[in-house]
Amino acid sequence: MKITCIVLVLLLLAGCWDQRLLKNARLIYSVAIDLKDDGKLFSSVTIRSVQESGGGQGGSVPVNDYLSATGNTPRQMRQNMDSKLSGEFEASKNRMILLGEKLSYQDIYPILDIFYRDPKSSLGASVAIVDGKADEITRMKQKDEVLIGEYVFTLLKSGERDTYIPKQNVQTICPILFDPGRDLALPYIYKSHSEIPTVGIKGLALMENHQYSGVYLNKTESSLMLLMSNQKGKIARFTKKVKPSEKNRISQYITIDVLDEKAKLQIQKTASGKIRVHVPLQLKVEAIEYPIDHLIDKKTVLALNKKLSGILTKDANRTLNKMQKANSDTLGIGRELMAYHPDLWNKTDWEKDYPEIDLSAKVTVNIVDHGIIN
Amino acid sequence: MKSRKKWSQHLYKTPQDRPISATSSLSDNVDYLQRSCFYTDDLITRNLPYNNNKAMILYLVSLSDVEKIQKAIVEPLLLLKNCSVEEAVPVNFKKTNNLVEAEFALNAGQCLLVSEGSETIYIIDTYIPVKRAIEEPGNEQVIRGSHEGFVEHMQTNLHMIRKRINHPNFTVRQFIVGRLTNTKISVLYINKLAKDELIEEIERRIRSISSDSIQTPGFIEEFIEDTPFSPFPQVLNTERPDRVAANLLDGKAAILMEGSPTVLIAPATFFSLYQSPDDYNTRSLVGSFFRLIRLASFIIAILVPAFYISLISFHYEVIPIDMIFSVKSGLTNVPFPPLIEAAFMQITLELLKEAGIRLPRPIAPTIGIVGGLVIGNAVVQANLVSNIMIVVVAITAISSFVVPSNEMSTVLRILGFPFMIAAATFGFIGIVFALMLLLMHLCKLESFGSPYFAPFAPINWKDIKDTIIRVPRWKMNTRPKDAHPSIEKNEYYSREWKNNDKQK
Repeated sequence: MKITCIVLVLLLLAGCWDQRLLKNARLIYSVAIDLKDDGKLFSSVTIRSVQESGGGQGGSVPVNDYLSATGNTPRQMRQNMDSKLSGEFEASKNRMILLGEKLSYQDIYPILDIFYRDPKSSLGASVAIVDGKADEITRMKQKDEVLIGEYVFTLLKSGERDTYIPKQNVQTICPILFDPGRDLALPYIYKSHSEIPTVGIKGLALMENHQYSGVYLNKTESSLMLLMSNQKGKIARFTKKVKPSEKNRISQYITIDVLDEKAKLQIQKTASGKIRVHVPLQLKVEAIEYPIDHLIDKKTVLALNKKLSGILTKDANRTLNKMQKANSDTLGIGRELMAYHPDLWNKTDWEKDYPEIDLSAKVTVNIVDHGIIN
Repeated sequence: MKSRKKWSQHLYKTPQDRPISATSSLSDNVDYLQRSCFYTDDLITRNLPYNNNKAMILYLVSLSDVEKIQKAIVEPLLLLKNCSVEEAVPVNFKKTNNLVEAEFALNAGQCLLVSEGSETIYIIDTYIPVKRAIEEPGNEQVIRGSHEGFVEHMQTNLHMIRKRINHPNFTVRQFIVGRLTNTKISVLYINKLAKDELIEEIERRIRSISSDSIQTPGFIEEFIEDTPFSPFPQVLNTERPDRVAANLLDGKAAILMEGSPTVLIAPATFFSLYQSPDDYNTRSLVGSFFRLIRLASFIIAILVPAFYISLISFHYEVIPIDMIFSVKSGLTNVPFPPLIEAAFMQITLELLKEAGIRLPRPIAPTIGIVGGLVIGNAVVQANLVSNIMIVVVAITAISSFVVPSNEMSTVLRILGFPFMIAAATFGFIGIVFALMLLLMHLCKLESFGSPYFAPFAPINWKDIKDTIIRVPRWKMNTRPKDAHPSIEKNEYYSREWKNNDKQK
């Protein structure tokens, strides 16, 4: 009897102290971190909570609560925030980490450290760099009817779909951060200060090692970069001016969707000992907007192919130039060198030599489809 | 041991007691019989002189067919002179000179004919059974197939099984247990198919029953089952003759009891509790689908409340982001910890179910209204329970009722509680540990020498054909091994016609 009592007491009373009740948790949806002028960190979060609209029957409205704190380290900021918060600060369902531009010029790993160290933290969160202050976005709380956290999260998701930004999250950026043969490109977003503030994708911020290089790719360049590294999302779309002679401005342009991409890094060593990297990119595309039409004519198509190839090759080369300028090897050329040309890799100091290598691209466009009209 | 023997020997008379010889005096014999029945008022005695000899008949009017006595005993003996009883009486009878035997026959509804100057007592069969009509058992309904169910009369039940297995090897062994109730029970099996050791073991366990009364098959089940404190039923209960026949044909044995429509089948395995005659009445694809659904129901009934509890009290990072806020909003105003919340709902449901069974039929609809309101809306609006908990409990309850065996369904709901406690204490780890214990118990359990969790422990891939799925009949060439049948072959190439077709 005594034993049964003890067993029952142990079973029923133990464990309650390490329960983490969902009821008491305050779930963080997005985190923004900025660097203050005095060198301290400033962080703001949106906390999603539910407001009961009277009556209780089904009509509950989600709202964002805004909370901010300063501190010397991310952990200290959390601690400070928790002291301002009813309930428990819970970052395990966090969807987004927004880094202010100023902060990202520093090494970003120390900021992400707590996300890797805590087993409960959300590794599926996206990381993005904000043009200006990240706090400005969190402070919006709401973009029109949509909560800001959700808004930016779905914005990034659709950016992934449209091949503007690579598919990545806290977990997948970690190996790239520590890869000497590859660099990271983080989504670069902005908030416009117009009358109706909008938040949008600017392109990809090129990282030099662990910090932002200050150079970013615009959306076309981002798409081309991603296509060159075979990372097409669901849609990759370009609109290019191919008929400047047309009077109607709309008719001057063609819009193409990339159906299939094939890119391969060709690494050679020139006689002078320089590394030459060539990136041939073959695109099978579908013309989805071209008012002049006549795409059934083989000659027209071939001419368009040539024209588009020329335009995109120029764009691609500009992209590669930018990447070299930023000293950001987002294509992973260094990794390729390590794998297939170890002798070359051993001889080079990649950090120093990458901007100097002979890097070029050639895009071959082939229109294979033109929608359901002829 | 010593005291037990003494108790069993001296308390009541049994038919096996030392015989008492009848005398040649009519009055002495009748006196003895009347005295032995303590002059009970439904004992009828009647003078019936025949062949110019004094004689009497005795019978219990409550058990005997008075009309039959009149037609088959009284009339022939009165009308026909100068002939023996053997010639005159057209119904079955037996002769004895043992008064004890006569006394027990009298109590079994037989009519005794005692004559002056003779030590022989005729025991004439005049028992009239009261039978109810054969109906479909309410707790084991099927959509297609036989709609017969057992009744309280054992001979009728035997008839229903025997007509399904017309073979001389079909054997019935009768026993009488319970010193006061003298309940007739029969053990049924197919000789040469059921393993001899199994039958011997069942008979040995039945013989060792030493009890005043056997009122229901549940008594027998508790006396003969291997592990009385296991939550799992180790004997299969059924009221369906087709289910009994199917199990007998797998080399198992059935135990019938007079006065109860429930038949026990031994040995039972975990998966035999999940088989329903419906599986065989439908085509194999449909049958397999329902088997899988039932198996899923086992897992759902045991794990879903526990899983939900551990989700909202330990591991909410596992909940998808699109769902977590609706879960959280339901929980915000609930004052109880999740375990109390779940236990409260489960117990409410059990109460409703129990009340639904016990309630007199005219006021039964009340429980529907009260139950529907209580576990439907009011409880959520009063913020006693979160709305997702209602969904969880409802799914659990529904899945526990899917099992074809009623005992198993209750067991499932009871097993849910330890799992909920484990989940509330240790989260997912608690669930895993509880599952490990359950699995260990299932693997260790035996029913009459057969492994309970066969064909998974010990693993036997071939026998999965009739457990979690049901393959077509022509694929079941061998019987399942769990009852250790003596003959393995079951069927062999019944679809040979298909080959013949091709040759044409």
